[in-house]
Amino acid sequence: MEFNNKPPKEYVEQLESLILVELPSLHRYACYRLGSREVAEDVIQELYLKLRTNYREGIHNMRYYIYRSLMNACAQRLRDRRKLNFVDLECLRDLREDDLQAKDFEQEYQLIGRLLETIPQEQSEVIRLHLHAGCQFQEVADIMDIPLSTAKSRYRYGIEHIRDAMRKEGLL
Amino acid sequence: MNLENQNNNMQELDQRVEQLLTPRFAPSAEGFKLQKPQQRPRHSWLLNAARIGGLAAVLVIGIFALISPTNEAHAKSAEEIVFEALEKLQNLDSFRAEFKAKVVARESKDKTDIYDLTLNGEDVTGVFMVLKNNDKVSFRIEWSNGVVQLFDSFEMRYKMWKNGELVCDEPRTSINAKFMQLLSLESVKQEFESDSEIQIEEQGNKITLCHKANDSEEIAGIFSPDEGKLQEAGVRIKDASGKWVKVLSVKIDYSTPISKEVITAAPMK
Repeated sequence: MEFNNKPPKEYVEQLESLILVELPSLHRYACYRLGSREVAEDVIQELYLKLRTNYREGIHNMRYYIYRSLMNACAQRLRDRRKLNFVDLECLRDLREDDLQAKDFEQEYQLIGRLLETIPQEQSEVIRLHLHAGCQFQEVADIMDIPLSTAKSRYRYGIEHIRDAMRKEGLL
Repeated sequence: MNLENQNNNMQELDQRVEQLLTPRFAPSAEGFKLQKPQQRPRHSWLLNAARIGGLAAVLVIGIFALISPTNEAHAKSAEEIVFEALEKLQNLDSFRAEFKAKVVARESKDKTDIYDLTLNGEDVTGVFMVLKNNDKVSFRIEWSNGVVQLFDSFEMRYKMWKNGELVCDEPRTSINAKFMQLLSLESVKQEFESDSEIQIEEQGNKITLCHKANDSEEIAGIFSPDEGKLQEAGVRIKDASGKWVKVLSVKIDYSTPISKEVITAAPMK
């Protein structure tokens, strides 16, 4: 892929129309990935500006490219945060039945985060894209550059693993 | 039959897991408008600072002005003093600041960012405290109208009191990211290194730091190298008639060490 700092008009138009359509899904994905509406919007804004200015040739599917870029941007933001120890994720062992009844976004984010922390990231990412961003499995597979069967099996393994972990702790 | 029942049971449990993982309280994207490059202010970190971040941004300027070593001020360039002071700031354990601001209550239900800095806002005063321990940072804001906010990264909780009554106490997995970004200073440093709009001027016995977000907003700190003290730090906004109005000013106090007990204490009723 070649970098080009002057994006063609068609690229910008396509990017803008897609971002506009996908914004609710991107927003929801980022909120539950990062745990804060404010940070999520910051990351999406930064990403948008980056995509606007750092044009790359050879993008086959702009939609998938946007989601992949957002995935990476969120992962980077979380890495930065963890470096500073601002995230204190606790294991499933401390989860109580009351915690399963989230009453607001903050509680729900914590619950989902803790459940997804029990499985490998490759599985949790499939779950996030499917359940949070609303992507179909074929779209998840294309975004993550994996076969459709792999996307489906990662999703299934992830759900089963969480189920087993919760049963072990008497939460199901 | 038993096997079939077991499978059904597993499927139900899987559905329960999927249900738990499916967002029900997703924040709405309504109202979130992406800013286009040509419309986006160049100094986003400053404009982002229109809430609590603004206070932190002013503190940053104020603090590096305060801690710049007096006897070295004339031997080094103003820019060198600024960067050295930024490094020192990262090593501070705690500080306290008094501030005065023009604010208006936010209309949203956001429990954290409760005020916006604004030209025609109500005048409020307050005290701002920061305590750092290794990589954790907690901060507390005591507003003169009886509101106290505590962002406690030791316990990973956010608390708010009104007139001594606890009105919010909830867990947080992160403590105000924008504030942290400013306090870590990495983004500010990058701005300084790459931004020609930040002016550092030495005039007689003072160093003035000025960062214009645009033609109508600026953040500034004035430092006296001779005294090693901050004279003034604040955020100014230009009103419709072209007159500059100070919407936030801060004075920093290093002489009062802040302990964990002090920063996390419940306010008196």
